[in-house]
Amino acid sequence: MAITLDQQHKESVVNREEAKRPGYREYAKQNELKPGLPFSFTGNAKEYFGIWIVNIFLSIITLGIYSAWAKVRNKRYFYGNTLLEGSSFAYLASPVQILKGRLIVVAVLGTIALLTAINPGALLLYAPLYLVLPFAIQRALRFNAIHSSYRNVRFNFTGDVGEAYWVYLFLPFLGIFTFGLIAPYINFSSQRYVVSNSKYGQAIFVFEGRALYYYITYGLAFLLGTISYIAVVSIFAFFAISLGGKGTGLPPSQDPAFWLSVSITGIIGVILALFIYSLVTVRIQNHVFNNTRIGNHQLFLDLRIWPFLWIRFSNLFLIAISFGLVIPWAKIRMARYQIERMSLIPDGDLETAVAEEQHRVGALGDEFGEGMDLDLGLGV
Amino acid sequence: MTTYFKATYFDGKSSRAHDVDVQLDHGIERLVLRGTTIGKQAYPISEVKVAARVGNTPRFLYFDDGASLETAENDAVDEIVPALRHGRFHLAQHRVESKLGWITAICLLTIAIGWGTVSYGVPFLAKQVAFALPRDVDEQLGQGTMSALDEFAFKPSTLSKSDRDRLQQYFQELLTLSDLKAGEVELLFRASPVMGANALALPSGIVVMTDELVRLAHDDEEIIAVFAHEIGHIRERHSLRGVLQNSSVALLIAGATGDIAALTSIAATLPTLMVQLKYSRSFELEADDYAVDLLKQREIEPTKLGDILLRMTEMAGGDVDPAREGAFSDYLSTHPNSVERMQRIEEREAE
Repeated sequence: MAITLDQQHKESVVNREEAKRPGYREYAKQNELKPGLPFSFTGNAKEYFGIWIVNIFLSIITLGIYSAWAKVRNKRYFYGNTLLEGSSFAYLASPVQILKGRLIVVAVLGTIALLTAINPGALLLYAPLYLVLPFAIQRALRFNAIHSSYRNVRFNFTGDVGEAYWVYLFLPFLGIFTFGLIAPYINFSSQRYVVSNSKYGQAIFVFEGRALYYYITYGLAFLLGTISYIAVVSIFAFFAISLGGKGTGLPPSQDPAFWLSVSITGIIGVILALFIYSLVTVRIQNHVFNNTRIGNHQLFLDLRIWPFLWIRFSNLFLIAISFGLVIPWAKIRMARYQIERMSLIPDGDLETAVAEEQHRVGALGDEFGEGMDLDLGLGV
Repeated sequence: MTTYFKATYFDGKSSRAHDVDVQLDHGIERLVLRGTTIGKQAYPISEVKVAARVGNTPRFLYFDDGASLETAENDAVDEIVPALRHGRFHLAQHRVESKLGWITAICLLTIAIGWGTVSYGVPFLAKQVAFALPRDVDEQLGQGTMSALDEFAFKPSTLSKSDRDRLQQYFQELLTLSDLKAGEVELLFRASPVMGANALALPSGIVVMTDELVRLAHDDEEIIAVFAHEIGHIRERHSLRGVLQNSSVALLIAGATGDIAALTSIAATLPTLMVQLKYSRSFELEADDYAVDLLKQREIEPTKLGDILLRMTEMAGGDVDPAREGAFSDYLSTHPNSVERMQRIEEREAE
C-alpha cells in the first residue's frame, strides 16, 4: 500500500504551476498523461449485481423500508471502490436517518399526488414545497458532506441557508422574467455554492470557475439545439412526404407510414438531444473540477464528449431492452469512466490534512432535510 | 486461535497514514495494533465497531477514541466479527450477495414478485380503491377532456337528426339494462377525420361515437354492440383504475430501485409503458366481457361486436388472418389483437 509518495512516484507528479502552464493540457491529452495522483475505481459489475439485486429484493419485501439501508450499501460500494493513493472513501450515514427523511418526503409527495389525481387544483400544493426546497438542499448537502470521509478525516459543508435561497429560489424566479438568459449564471452560482462551501477537514475548497465559460457552453448548446431542431423537422417532413405520398387514404393515426416517420425522427431526435446533453455535462464538469482546489491540491478532470456520449447512449439502450437487468453493469461502467479520468495534483503530500473538531450531527433535532439524500453532488 | 491482518491506521485528527499489524487473540478479546510510527496500542473488543462488508471494498474498523483502521483483508476481519456484539446479520448478507446460487434464486424471486404484483396485486387493489370512491371522482378526472378533444380532434357530426335520434334511443334502452343511472352516461356524436372510425368513453360519463364508425357499421346491432363495450368502460370505472394503477407502478419502480429520478429516466420509460399498455389491454377485454353480457340481455348476437372490431382493424390496415401468430407488436398496443378478442367473445357467448 503506497502510503507516502516514494521517489519514483514523485517524479511522475507534476506540480500545480506546471499543470496550469499554457499548452500543458494539450500536451497531456496527446500523450494520454494524467497529471498528479490518479483516482482509480475497483468496482466490478458481477460483484455489484449481487449487492444490487439483494437490495431490491429486501426493499420490495419490506415495502420500501429497507431502501434506506440499500441506499447506504449502494453508496458505500461506490465510495469504497474509489481509491486515491491507496486509501478509499467512506460513506458513514446511518440508514435510520435516511429512512426518517424518506418517510417525510414520501408522505408529503404521496398525499399531493393522490389529491392531484382526484382534483387537479391540488397541484397548487406544490408551491409551498418550493419555498422549503432551498432549505432542504442546504441540509442535504451538509448531510452528505459530513457523512463522507477519506483517511478518517471528514468532509464538511458550511454553506448558509440564505445563500441557498438566493441560488435555488430567487435566481430561478428571476430567470422566469429574463427568458432564461441567466440560466448559465444560475448553473454557475449553484455549483460555486456547492464547491466553495465544501471543506475537507480544515482544508477549504476554492472554486475558480468563470461564469463566462458557462455562457459559452450554453450558447454552443443553444446553437446546436436550434440546428438539430431544424434538422429533425426537415427529416420528418422528408419522410412524411416520401412515405405518405402513396396516399393510403387512412387518417394519420392509423397510417403506418406516419408512425414510421415519427419513430425514425424520434430516434434521431433522442441521439441529438443526448449529444447536446453530453457536450454540456462534459464541458461543465471538466471546468468545475479543473478550477477546484482543496487547500493547495488541485483537482484535474478530463472527460471526453464522444466516449461519454457512447457510454450514456448504450447504457440507456441496453437498460431499456433488458428491463433494467443491466443497470448494475451500466452504473459501474459510467462510474469507472468518470472516476478514472480524474486526478489530484498535490502540493506536497496528502498526509497533512487536519480534521476539524467533530460536530455533533442531528443535535439540532431537525430530521427534515438531514436524511434527504438528494443527489446534488457534482455527478462523480 | 489468533487472527492477523495488515491495515492502515488513521488517528482521526489528521490524514497521516500509519502502517500497522493487527492481532486478535480469540478469548482475550483485545485488538492489538503494532506499527513503526505508532508503537503498540490495544483496544478492548467492546470499543471496536466493524463496518458491514460491502463486496470487496476496503473494510473500516472504528474505535471509540475516533481513530480508525482501513484494510483490504476482508476475510480476516470477518473472522473477528463473531467476537463482537454486532455485524452477524451483515456477514450473512454478504454471503448471500456473493454466492451465484443465492443471487440467481433471489433474482428469479424478485422477477416473480415484481411480475405478480404488477399483474395481479396492483390491478386488484386499484379496483377495490376505485369502487370505494364516489363517482364524482371519475367526473373530476375527465373535466376538460371533452372540450380539448372538440378543439383538436373533433368536428360537428354530419349524421341526420333521425339517425342520431334512433341511435340515441338504442343507447338509452341499453343503459336501462345496465345498473348505471340514465343521467350518469351521455352519448355524443362527432365527426373525426383524425381518429377515423372510433368510439370512446370518457371518465366523466360521456360516450363519443364518430360518424366514420356509424358509416362503417353494416347494421344498427353492430353500433349497439359498440355502445355496450363503451358502457362497460364507464361501468367498470377503467379511467380511474387506470390512473391508480399507472401511478402505483411508477411509485413501485421508484421505491424498489430507491431512485425517484427513475420516474423521469428515458430507460424506465419502455418497461413502464409496456406495463401501462398491458393494463389498457386488460381493460378492453373486461369491457368486451361486459358487452357480451349486456348484448345477451338485449338479445343481440355478441359476435356483432367481434364483426365490427375486425372491420375496424382491417380499415386500419391491420392483420386479421385467424391463423396469425402472436407478434411482438401485440405487446406495444393499447388494444388486444382483434382476432383474439373475437375468439374470446365467442367463448364467453357459449358459456
